Amino acid sequence: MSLAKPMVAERLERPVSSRGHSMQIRGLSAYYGAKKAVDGITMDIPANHITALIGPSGCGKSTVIRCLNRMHEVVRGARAEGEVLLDGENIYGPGIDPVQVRRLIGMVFQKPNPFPMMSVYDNVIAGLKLNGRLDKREADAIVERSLRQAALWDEVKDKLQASGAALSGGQQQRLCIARTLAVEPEVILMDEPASALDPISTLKIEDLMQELRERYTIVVVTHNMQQAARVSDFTAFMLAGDDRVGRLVEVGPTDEMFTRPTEKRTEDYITGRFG
Amino acid sequence: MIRRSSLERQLRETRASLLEMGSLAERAISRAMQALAVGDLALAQSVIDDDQGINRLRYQIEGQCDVLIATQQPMAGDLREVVTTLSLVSELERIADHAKGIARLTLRLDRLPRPTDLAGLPTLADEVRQSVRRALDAYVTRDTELAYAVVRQDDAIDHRYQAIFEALIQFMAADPAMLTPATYLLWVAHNLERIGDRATNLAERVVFLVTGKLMERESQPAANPSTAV
Repeated sequence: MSLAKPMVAERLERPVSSRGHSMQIRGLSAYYGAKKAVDGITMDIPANHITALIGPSGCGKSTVIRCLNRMHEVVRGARAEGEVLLDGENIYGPGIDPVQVRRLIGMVFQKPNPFPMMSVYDNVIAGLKLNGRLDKREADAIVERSLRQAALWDEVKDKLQASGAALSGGQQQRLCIARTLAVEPEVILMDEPASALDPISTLKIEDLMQELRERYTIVVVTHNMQQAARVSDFTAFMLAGDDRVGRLVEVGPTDEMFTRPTEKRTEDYITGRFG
Repeated sequence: MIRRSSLERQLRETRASLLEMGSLAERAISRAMQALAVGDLALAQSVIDDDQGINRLRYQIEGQCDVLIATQQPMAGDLREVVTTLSLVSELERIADHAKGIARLTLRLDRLPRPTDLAGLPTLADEVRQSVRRALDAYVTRDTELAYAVVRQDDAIDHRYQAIFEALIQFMAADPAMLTPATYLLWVAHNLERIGDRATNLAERVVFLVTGKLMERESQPAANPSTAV
């Protein structure tokens, strides 16, 4: 299956029931110019599960997640080596269109970033508008479906034409999730999705992640270990060495990682004794 | 390495309380058996009265663990220590209850005839008390080999319990006057055998504390000749 343009429509038309997309990271290294930031990451991301990347600041976890939909290379001078497979196909392979990769592998960022001049409604379908015209009925259906999936519909259904920027921080983040869902991705990447939110909004996002897992494969970067423990099925721990290059220390089922990690470095980190 | 001084202080305090409770439970076994051996009713009564203090200590330690979980969010090895402590205090509290049960039986045995050498009960008591002591030692030193040795010792305790059971039945059969006291002594034996089982539970929890794995009674490693008992 190709990630080149013609195949995308076919992917997106597949019924939800047949979804379930896994990724594999094979020997992934990432650079900013000549500086290596991440070295030789190899791990699996199972379909319809939540995989958390944890580790101290500067360990390269955000760099890794950005490599998973080719966002890393958007930074000038940045590049990645190795393979990242989506359902067996290397997203760094020749002829692959990065724009299409990012449509299939959506991303939610740390700070809610709705388009400030757009209404709630337009924010949701912003990604689809970029991809071509939509008729009104189709757009209405997508907006409602996406907002429902993002657990925001009941709160905004009467103010769809209000500015997205008028919503609370937690609502704005769910609006951004709705925007990501509107283009029907296969995998959702979340980079610190709740770190700018209050505790109640954070729990709403975490609940939402549990619901989204039924339909999507999710990778989340978080510096909040309790959050990783609460929401994820698998946890990967990364650490930068003295050379300040991030490496994968250990990956495993979250239950085991937080009760009996194999590596002493993981134990030191999750018990708060790393330093 | 960052030191989590507040967490470590709370863990140290919890450990100290747990060991205090362990020594009180051990002492309760010794005193209950001493009261039984010499028919000291006042001593037996004090074992019964002191049990409340052990119960209070259990709730105090549980409270310490609650606070530790709520305020420190322990993970991995720290979390296992807290979870293990909650299990250990429950077992120690029950061990002390069994000692109290022996003390109550001592009161009932007052002025009743007794078989010579209490049918071997003091030896059984020494063995189970030693198992409790060794399980607590294994906890202090995080020694899984010692913990496994305690688990293996339980078979010998069960065999001795069986032998005492049969001896007491024979006493009853031989002399109808022994029916009541031998029945009470059977209950004493049962209390001791249960203490042995709980010492095994303590040891299994120590293995979990160290390895993160809950051991099944059947899946213990074969005896190492140097530690076999």
